[in-house]
Amino acid sequence: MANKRGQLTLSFNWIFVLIAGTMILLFFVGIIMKQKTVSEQKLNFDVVTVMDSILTGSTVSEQTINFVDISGLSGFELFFDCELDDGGGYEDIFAQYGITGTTASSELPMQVLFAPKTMEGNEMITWSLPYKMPFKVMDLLMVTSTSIKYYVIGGKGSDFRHDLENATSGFTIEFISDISEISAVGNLFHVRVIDLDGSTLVDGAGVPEELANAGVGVVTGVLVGSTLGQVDYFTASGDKWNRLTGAGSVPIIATGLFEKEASLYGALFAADDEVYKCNMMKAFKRYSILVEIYQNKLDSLSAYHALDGPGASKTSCKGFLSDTTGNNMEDTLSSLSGELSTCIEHGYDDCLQVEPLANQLHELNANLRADTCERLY
Amino acid sequence: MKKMNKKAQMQMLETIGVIFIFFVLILFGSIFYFKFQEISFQNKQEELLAQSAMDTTLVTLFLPEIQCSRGDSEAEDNCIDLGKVRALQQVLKENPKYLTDYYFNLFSYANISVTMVHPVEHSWTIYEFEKVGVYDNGSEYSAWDRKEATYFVVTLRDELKGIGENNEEFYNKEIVYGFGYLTVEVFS
Repeated sequence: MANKRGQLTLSFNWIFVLIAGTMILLFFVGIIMKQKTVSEQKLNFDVVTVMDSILTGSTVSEQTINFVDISGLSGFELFFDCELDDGGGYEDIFAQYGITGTTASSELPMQVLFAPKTMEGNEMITWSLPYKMPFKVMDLLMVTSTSIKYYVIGGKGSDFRHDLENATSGFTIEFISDISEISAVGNLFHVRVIDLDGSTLVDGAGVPEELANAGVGVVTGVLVGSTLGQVDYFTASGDKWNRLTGAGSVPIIATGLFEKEASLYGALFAADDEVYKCNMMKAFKRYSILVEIYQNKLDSLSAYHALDGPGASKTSCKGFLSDTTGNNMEDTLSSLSGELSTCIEHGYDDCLQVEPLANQLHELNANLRADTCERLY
Repeated sequence: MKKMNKKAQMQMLETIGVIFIFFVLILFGSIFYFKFQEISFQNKQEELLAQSAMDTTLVTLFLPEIQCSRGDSEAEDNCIDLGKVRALQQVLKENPKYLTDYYFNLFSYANISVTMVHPVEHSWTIYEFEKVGVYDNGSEYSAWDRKEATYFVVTLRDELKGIGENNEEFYNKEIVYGFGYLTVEVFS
């Protein structure tokens, strides 16, 4: 009898230990699982916060190139995306960046960011340039990495090639005179060929042997038109160059008045034509708001020049602002506002008329300055 | 036999006691851990808010909408053009959707104002988007937990004799340069 009770106690003890042990084990497994999720979310959040801060800082550091150590993110792939709706207008743009395969992402509803579609590496490069049309609209940010190599071919002796060479010190960039100087992809994440004279990037032409069969999207190219007024995007499909801009070249909308035209430099770093146009649409949205602000300032400027008193009521000043028929600031800003409305609604291809109006505005502002009148900008 | 029974009971009590103490320790550990996490979370939030205030101030200082431009030359650093400030105020008043659809993406929940200290004391609000909740009766209440304010000394340029300004102090006064400060308040 006592033996039986002993056996029962022993079995009970084992069952008790088993149940309690399982519960304790489950408890700790639960904690570990929860911590894993929390850590992942924390990392995602930290990455986005840090990136946001880097991008904000870079955007306002006008005309500066920053080398940001992102070795803490090594092994993670960053993605940058900007999608246009079917119509190509501003309203349905969806832009974001983040870490591929995680929930870490942040929307970019208004920041203009020219970057490859995906990026990896230990060092991120950010370069900010002001977009002036002719007054400053916003800073456009170019993002790349030291593990992305740029080959610049053609345009030897041109000012643009020279400026690009001076500006991109520290980038993984090589200025070559012959295609044979291109080396194999190796450990690089991405290779971009920038052709300044159309000698290399031709639809259907052969990709340099070293870059052939490098994988989808690894080798891309951008062909800059001889007048710097348009670009075409290419991707290497196997051993052939494939032109992406099927609907035609992408016109560069810039005044041509400044040494470094942000919209042209941005085109060199944008992944493709859609990404480029999508980002430029964000710039045009900001431009349209700024034009409204300047229209409002113009009213005050006109009122100021209508005042009596020395220096305030010069006839020429008033003429540049509104009196002269056809070529005055009021009419120019009004036309610009109309063109920008069309552009924002219908898409990039309807923005081309903005360029001559911006140049006209520049001329009028210069006239104001020459006649010692108060300037608009 | 009674002795054996008591021994087994004692062993059982001992085991239960050990497990009980184990769970009590786990409970204490958990309470300590979660309290620590809560404090870290609050610190992190404060840190983020301070970062957000700095970022917003930086963005505002370089805002083309209000920055002092000089034709094709570089803009004047830490200078705000009051002619543009007044124009921006007017544009935002006429198009409140710019505030919600556009500038909110730039500044989020924040109040941004420019205050002139010399030669005239005056203030201009250029962005106002406070976090608010709505009671059942429709009245609003402040729904933010924390507020971080930053101040930045700036030069104020007004080449237009205060035209557009509803303040007698400005009428026909040639205030080309004054000074004041930029206030950026962010909410979380």
